[in-house]
Amino acid sequence: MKYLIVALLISINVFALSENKIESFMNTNINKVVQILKSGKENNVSKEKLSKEIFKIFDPVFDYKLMARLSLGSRVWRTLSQRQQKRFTTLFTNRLKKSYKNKLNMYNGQKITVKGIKKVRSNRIHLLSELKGKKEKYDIVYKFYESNDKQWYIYDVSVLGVSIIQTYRSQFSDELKKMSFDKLLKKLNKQS
Amino acid sequence: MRFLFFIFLTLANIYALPISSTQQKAQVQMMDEFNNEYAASDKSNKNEVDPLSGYNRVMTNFNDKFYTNILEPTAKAYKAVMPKPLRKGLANAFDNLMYPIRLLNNLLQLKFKNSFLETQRFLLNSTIGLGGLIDVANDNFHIKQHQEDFGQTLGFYGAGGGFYIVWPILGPSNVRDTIGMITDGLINPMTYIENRGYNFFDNSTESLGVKVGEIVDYSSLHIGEYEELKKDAIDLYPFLKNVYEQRRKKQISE
Repeated sequence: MKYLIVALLISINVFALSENKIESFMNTNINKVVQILKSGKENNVSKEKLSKEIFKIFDPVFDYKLMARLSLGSRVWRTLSQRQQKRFTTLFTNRLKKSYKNKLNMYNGQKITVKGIKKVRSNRIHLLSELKGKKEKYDIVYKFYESNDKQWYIYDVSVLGVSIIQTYRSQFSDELKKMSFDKLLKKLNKQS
Repeated sequence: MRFLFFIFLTLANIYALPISSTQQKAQVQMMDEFNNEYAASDKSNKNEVDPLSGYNRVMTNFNDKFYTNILEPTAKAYKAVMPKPLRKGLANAFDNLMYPIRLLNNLLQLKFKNSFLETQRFLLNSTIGLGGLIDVANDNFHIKQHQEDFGQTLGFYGAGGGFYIVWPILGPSNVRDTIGMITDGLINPMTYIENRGYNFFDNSTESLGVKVGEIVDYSSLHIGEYEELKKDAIDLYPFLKNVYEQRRKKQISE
């Protein structure tokens, strides 16, 4: 019984990222990811295995549920049944992860550096980073929000100024003009 | 023990009730904030007129087929016979020749430091870089290119994008950037517009041939990138349209 209570209490806050730890957390872990990618390339590790290792590090900071909700927009979200919301969140999260996993093939020794943080509002922080190859340079911004439990999570990532959530918002709103939500779920499932 | 647990649960419930209602309020407020954050771009998306949407969709599909079935295989074949330094050298040389466009647009946007850096790049690459074949400015002097076009210049002075236009082969554009493209073409030494002293070619057929070469060469250095980007699309048309608009907005703001 005692254990149960202890376990209950512990499980509430296993992972917590406070404001002053965002930069060091991201710095440490982005370096870790670069190491994983480098040794993975040298040893020909499959991208399934690589992505699993990377997701293990970053899953706790990504608020996938919120990302799914934002990509649909609140107006649509509110009209959905709980079952639909759940199904959509699962499909959407898998899609984001699959897209990331596919891009690991493109890794070719580029460096990733954290350039700093920018507090854009009291509860929004942007972590600015840069992916640098021999000639090309990509700005990648990780957008953090402060949740109600005072912890910080990622809700959007933008690459070269293109917000991933925004691309989904415009696509979903376009799709829902043409089809019902259940049809959209079917389409997402088919593409996954 | 059981009693203790019972107390714990009761306490948890007592506290949970008032907390959940304030939490709910905070939750609603949080979602409102997020909606406002994305509202501006959503609005431009919805109100935006897309009078060419029928044509644009067809052209997006045409370009997609063209990239996948014609351009990519051609670029792959070209890649197989041309060594990488040569392909890179050509891409660098084409880039170097676009210097007048970058210079003019940097100047028009009052980016004097970048105009100076672009001039430095051009001088270094044209001489030590063997006529632009080697980007010594970037590789040895760490002077990065400052890409600016006339579409960005128009945006810099507040011009909106206008409606979306998909051009054959050239891909996504809009009214502003099409005007920009034509204007840049006028100062591009590679295009044949009229008989000018600084033109590279005598007629537009030669100019077109070189343009095709440039596109194939560029693609050979970026094989697989379009296919990879495409995989992220649920529906290609709104996806490319949105990526284009966001990207241009960012370029103009820089």
